[in-house]
Amino acid sequence: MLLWVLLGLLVLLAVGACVFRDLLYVAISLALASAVLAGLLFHYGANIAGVFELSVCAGLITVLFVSTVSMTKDSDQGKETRMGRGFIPLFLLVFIGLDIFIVRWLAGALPEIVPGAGSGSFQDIFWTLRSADILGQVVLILAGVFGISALFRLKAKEKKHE
Amino acid sequence: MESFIGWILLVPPVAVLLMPWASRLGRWAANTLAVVAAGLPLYFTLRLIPAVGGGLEYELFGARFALDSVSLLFLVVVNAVAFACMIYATSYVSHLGGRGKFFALLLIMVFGLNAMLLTRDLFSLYLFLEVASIASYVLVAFGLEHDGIESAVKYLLLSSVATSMVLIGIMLVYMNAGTLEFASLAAALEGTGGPVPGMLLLAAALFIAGFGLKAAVMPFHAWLPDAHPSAPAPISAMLSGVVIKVAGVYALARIFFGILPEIGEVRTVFLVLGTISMIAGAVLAYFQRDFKRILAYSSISQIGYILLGLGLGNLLGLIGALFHVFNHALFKSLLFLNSGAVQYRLGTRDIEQMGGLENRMPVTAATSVFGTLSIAGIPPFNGFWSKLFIIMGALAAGQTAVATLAILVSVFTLGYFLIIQRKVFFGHLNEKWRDIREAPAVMSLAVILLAATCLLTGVFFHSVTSGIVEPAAVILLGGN
Repeated sequence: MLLWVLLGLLVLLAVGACVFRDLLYVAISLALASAVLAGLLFHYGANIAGVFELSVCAGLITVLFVSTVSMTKDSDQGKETRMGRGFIPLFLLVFIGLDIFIVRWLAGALPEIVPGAGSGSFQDIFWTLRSADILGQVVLILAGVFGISALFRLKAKEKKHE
Repeated sequence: MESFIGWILLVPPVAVLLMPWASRLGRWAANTLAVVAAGLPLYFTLRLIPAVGGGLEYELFGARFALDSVSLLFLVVVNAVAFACMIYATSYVSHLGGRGKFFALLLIMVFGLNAMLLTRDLFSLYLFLEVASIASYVLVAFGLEHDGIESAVKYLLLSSVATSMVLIGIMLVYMNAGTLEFASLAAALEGTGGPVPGMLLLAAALFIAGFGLKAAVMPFHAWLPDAHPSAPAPISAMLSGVVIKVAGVYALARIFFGILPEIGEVRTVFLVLGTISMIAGAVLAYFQRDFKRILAYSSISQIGYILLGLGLGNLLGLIGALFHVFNHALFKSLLFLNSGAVQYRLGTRDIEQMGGLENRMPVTAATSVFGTLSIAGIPPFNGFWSKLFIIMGALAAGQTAVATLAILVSVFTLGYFLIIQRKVFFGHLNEKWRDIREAPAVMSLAVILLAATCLLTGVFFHSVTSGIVEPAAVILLGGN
């Protein structure tokens, strides 16, 4: 039952990320979808994938999106095209259909994962097994922050002059 | 001595954290911090050369990093070019603005590349590749001009395709082996003499396409001729000199000589793609008018030489390929920095509008001649020896046609680089450029350092090959 609730929530949040018109809501919806997906990955015992979905997609990416949105929102966030309202949900439905088809095919075609792979507690995986990746993620956040501030540096300067 | 590995990794990100503060103190503080932060990893890398032996390991915040001769060779390349580019950038970045941000992103790129070379885990390699890539997308667009932003988006999109393929490849390998650590992976995937599982073949194809795209090997090269010319000169030098080699060549060599050596067909793929890239890159370079675009296409051609050397799979071929990685990093960075100096003064990259700059920019002209002689493989410059090793490797492998093509392309390369020299630096001075002066002294210092290294590593090529190249080739061949 929990599984179906999580799956339903995942689809709803993914649809939300496509149809919300406020970019901040889009980023939050995407982050929640990632968090739910991480829950599903933990449910299936794919702990490493779950850890990364949670830390990178729900955490890091959201920080980057929200930073970008907050830096651009009051300047030139133009009205989004109305096409999104009708076309994106339709596209999403087709995509979900294709997705189900591909996952069913993959489930039959892929070999069994080697036993024991990805086992261990969250703490073990995050702090011991994958600690090099934490360093990478920290610098990835720095890259995002400096990248955004570099690309919007003229805008910041213009604002200062005003 | 092992702690130097930690310093190589830590110095750039610590400097990134200090950069906003240094930028507020003034231009001199930001410049000093950037040059020191790029210089220290080079110093530690050079200190590690006599100590590397059978390999070193170091634990940083619980994460294990390791150094062997292959990593060491690429570390020397990354940090030497980064140091020269950083010196050059202290002056060049003045007309772009955002000095501190530029240095910070360049240092993040250096960190990503160094960490890629020191990790022993396939997923971490992917993650650090993304760190370097994200910094490089922004740096390509750093000038905030239309061309740069468009090229950066194209680079980002094609790179995303590449990294997606790499990620799926990693997933397939993980499903088969249950581990991502290099040594355990090699042991888990060691062949039993039977056919290689289909999933591993698929993973191999994805790695070749993904990392091939990062290395800009034909036919995966479409992003490079746009991205490299549009970027600021020090970034073009880093991308062509270093990034395509670490993100592409190093990853391919590590995977197909260390983790999946059983798939012998890959060598043939390398040989074919290398030969195509070597020829097509040179031919396409000949038809360009844009100084930096010529250099970008020529990078595709030179990467072809490197891939060809890897594809030969014998000791001579591998020594040639790895030595060419080292040499190409030096002379291509030099040529890109020179093209940047010309653009900095003239404001154009169109070689048809140039001419007679040798008297106005004597340092840039002289060092460009050094770069040209190196890339064309003229003795005693470094490019001669690496190409010679590749050609000897081809002959030893019975690939006479490939060896002949490599010689012909080298002659052709000399031809189109001489055309550049004539159109840019020699002949009659275009009246428009009568008041042009030499590039700022700091920029000249960086290109003099690179030009001198091109000559010295050619004259003393034996010290370089026996010191850092041959041990790396032996490791790739499965020795210690």
